[in-house]
Amino acid sequence: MQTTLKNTGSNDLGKPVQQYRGLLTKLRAKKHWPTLLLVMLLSLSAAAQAQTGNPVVDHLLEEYQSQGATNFSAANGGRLWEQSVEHSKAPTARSCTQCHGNDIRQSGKHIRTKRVITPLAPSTNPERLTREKKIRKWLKRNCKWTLGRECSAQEKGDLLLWIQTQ
Amino acid sequence: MTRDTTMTKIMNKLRWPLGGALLTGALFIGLSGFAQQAQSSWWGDDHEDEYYAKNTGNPTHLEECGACHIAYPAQLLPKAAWQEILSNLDNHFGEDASIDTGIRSELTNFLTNNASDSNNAGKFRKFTRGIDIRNPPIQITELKYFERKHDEINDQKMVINNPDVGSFSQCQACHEKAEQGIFDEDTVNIPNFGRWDD
Repeated sequence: MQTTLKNTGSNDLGKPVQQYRGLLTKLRAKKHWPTLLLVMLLSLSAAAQAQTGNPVVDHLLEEYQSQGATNFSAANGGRLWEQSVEHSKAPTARSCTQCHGNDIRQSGKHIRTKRVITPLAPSTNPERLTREKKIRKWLKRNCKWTLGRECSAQEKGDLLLWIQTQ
Repeated sequence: MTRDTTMTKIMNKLRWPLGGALLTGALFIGLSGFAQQAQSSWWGDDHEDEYYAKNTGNPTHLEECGACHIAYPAQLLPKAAWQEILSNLDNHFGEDASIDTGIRSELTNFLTNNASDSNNAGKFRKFTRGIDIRNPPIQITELKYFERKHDEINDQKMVINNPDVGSFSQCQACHEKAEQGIFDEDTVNIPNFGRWDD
C-alpha cells in the first residue's frame, strides 16, 4: 500500500519526520478499517440512491432500482420526453411535449381540452414532484397515453430525474 | 239644502278608515319589497333564483376532475349520468381517466348528492328538462336544456372556430365564473365577441 510521504525536514532530535497527506491516506496508513469501511459504504449508497435531494423522488428511484433499473440518466429521460411515438391506440403520433411542451418550466396546454397545465418543472412550480400518489397516477396514465404501454422502471426513473433537474 | 244619500252617509263614515287601510297596504307592499331585496329572497339566501351551483370547491372533485377540463359542477347532470360516467372512467370520452376505488366512491357521493335531480340543484333543476332521467345523456352539451340555453350562439363563429374557445365543453372560456359554479348571463364574456347583452 502506497503512502504519500513528504520529507519535511528534521525534528529537534535531527531525525527525518514523515508527514502524511490527507485524512484518507492517514487512515489507510493507520489501517483504521472501521472508518474506512464507513466512508466506503456511505459513498456507495449515495451513488446507488442517486440523491436528488427530493425525498419523494429518491424513494421512487430506490423502488425502481429494486425492480431492476440501473443508473438513471436525465439525458435519457429528456430523449424519451421528446420522442414521437406511434401506437395502436393512437390515431396520430404522440409525445409528452404535445401537452406539457418542450420546455417544462413553462405552462402546457391539454391537447384535447385546451386546459392550461401548470409547469411540470419544480424549478418554476415547487409543488411538482412532492406527492408520490400523484406522480404514480400520472406516470401510469400518461405513459399509457403516450407510449401505448406503461413505462419501465428505468424509463420512469430517467423521466423523474430529468423533470427534477429542469 | 239637499239631504245626504245613504251612500254618501256610508262613505263619509268610511272615508278615513278606508283611505288609511289602503295607504297602509300600499306602504306595506312597497316596504316589504325593499326588505326582501335588501336581505334575501323569500325562498332563502341561497341564490335559488340564479345559476349559482351549491357546494362547489370540493377538493377531490377539483383535483380529480379538474385536471384536464373544468371540474363540471355536479348540478349539470342527473344522478344516473354521474353514476354512468364514474363506472366507465377507463374509457372516459375516449381517454383513460381511471382512479382509485376509494376516490371513486367519494366522487360518486359528492356528484349524486348535488346532481340536477337532487335537493341541491336549485335553479339547475331545469337541466333535467326534456331528458329521460333514468337513462340520460352523459354529455352535458347534449342535454336539451343546455342546447336551448345556447341556441342563440353562433356555433361556428363564436365557439368552434373561435381560437380562444374551441368547443362547448370549455364552459370557462365564456362563462367567467364557471369554476365557481356561476353561470348567469351577466358573467358571460365571449372572447373576441364581448359580453352577452340581451
